[in-house]
Amino acid sequence: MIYLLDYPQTKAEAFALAKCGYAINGVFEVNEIPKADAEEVEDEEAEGNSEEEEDDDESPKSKKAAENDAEQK
Amino acid sequence: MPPKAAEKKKAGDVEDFSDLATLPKAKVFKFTVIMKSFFSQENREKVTRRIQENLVPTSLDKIKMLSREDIVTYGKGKGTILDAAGLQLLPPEDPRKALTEDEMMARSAADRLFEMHVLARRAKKEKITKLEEDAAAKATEDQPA
Repeated sequence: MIYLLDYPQTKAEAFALAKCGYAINGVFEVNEIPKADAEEVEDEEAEGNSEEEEDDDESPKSKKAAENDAEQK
Repeated sequence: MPPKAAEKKKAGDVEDFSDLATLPKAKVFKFTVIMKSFFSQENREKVTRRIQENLVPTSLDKIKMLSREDIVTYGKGKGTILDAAGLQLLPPEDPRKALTEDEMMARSAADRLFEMHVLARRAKKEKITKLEEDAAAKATEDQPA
């Protein structure tokens, strides 16, 4: 793996490099997020997880219902 | 008389790529990290320093770094990056006169990346050869006399 530290920085530089047959395979952008926004994102993620947990909770219930049905039969 | 020390490579020396056809293929992943938006220069420097401290040294030599400064030094050594005085010395029909600064930089970067690619392929070949030799040595040891 080659980490190009500070080149290419502009689109023109990236285009010139691509013309020479060497394109960059991965570009990682690092941004700083305001704390409030970051908390919102965390909350959304937490909600997403709880929904998943709820889904998981439903599955044992449905299993129990199926077992009751079987017993009744 | 003491033996002569091996001659060091000069910046303008042409690298020997005659073994290129014999080298195995190697996939090289080229990536960059862009520090886009930060609230303060201090935070930007902090994150940049953190990445530099942790990304490359902990990669067990799998990640090689290539900075703009390296590319410029390499290009100047090979003659792909020329300053205004150097360009004036070139004959008028020289195609390097028509190149922009970005193009010169890109050519230099491409040459350096090619060289690094070849080094990776050579290392891979050495590794394969060593593994084959070890396997052959093990096979001869296992064979009953």
